Amino acid sequence: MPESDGPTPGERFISGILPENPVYVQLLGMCPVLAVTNNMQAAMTMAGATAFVLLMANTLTSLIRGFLKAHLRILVFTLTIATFVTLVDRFLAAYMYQMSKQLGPYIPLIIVNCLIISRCEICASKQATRTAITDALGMGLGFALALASIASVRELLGSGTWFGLPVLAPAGWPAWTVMVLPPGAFFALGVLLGLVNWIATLRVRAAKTREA
Amino acid sequence: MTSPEANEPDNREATDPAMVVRSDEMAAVARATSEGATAAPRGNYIAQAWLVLLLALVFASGLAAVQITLGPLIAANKIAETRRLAPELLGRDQVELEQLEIGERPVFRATAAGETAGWIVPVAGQGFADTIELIAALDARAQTLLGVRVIGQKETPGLGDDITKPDFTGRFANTPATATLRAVKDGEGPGAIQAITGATISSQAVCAALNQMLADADFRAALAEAASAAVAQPQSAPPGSPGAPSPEAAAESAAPADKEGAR
Repeated sequence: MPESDGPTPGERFISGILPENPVYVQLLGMCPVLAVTNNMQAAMTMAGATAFVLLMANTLTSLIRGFLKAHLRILVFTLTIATFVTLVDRFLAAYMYQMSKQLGPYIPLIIVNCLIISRCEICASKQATRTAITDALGMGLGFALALASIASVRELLGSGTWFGLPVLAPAGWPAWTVMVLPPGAFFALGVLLGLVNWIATLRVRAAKTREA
Repeated sequence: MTSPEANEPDNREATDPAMVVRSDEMAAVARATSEGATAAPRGNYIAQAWLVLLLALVFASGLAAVQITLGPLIAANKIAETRRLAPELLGRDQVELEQLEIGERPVFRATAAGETAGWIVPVAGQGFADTIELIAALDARAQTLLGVRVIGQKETPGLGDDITKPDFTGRFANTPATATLRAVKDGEGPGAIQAITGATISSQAVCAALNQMLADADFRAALAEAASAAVAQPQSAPPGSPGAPSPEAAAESAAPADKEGAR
């Protein structure tokens, strides 16, 4: 398989973090983004679980890419993803029981996170294993950063804490309960998405004036 | 005058180009398919699907190994969770749980200050998405359902998972254990549990899982026997010497309970 017709491992890693951020640019994986970002512990567990599944699915898909039949590839991707998600689900139930109870059905729902299947399709089934691994790491990190940004805003404003540690609470912060409830997820995502797009527009405009 | 026959050629002319394009595409697809089929013998499903079958086999054995390794840990977590929830379910400050097997079901006998405070029975039933695991608390005489808690579920977020909320589990408190529970829209009477809007199946599943345990005649008879023995025991025994199994059971169950408290 020719290595030249695709981004290099380094490009894949970088593009996952910001230029093609799964949440802020591709708008993928909105279910966990909205559902488990009301506190940092849950959001980071979800980010870790997703990154692990993504890494394993990308690596395996890339290793077997030579044997994939075009009409059966989605089946193979789903099978691989579901296996690693089940592994993560059992692991959390055994070693992080309370977190597993808190995340409940959202861990099995990683199977249908389009982020993972899209990386198998776009990158891992076409490129070398090294590239697929850096792609998974970049995308996993980008997803984690996006979840962290939303969860930070929601937990700080909603509970006055961060990772369960009192941050704003001692300063007499009146916890905005709405931020830990589902509407808060939409408020936080909307404002942050707007902010990211606004910064992107400013940068494009700045680049244009520099050219002119 | 224009007859239908006269119109027909015009119609055919109008539709033909589109049909030609479509049949061209179909021919291309057919050609591509037959080329693919020559690479692997036509009709040889193993040649097509060997990778899927192999992966399914490997993954299934891998997950079976994971389940064998982690299963006991997960079961221990569920027992720890039962111990944590027991005092609140039975309305006591502190209870000690002793694991028994009554009528082929695992049951926890809860003791507080040396006397039986109630019985905790783990039950499970098929929910909307996956198995719903519950613990049900019965009073010391096993005549009244004191309360229910959900310890495992994967119901629809935002709808079915409302069964875990105290608002719903509270509806089971102080129900006669002889009643058949049924999820109702509106209504009263023994065993009428108001279902959750948008989660009828999940509400019914919780009732059905509990009914299965409550209606198990052999189990209920065995539990009633154990309950009457347990209730009678402290009265018949002199205050200085409690029933033989009690000190051991207390020592056994006190250790994990203390750990829970320390945490």
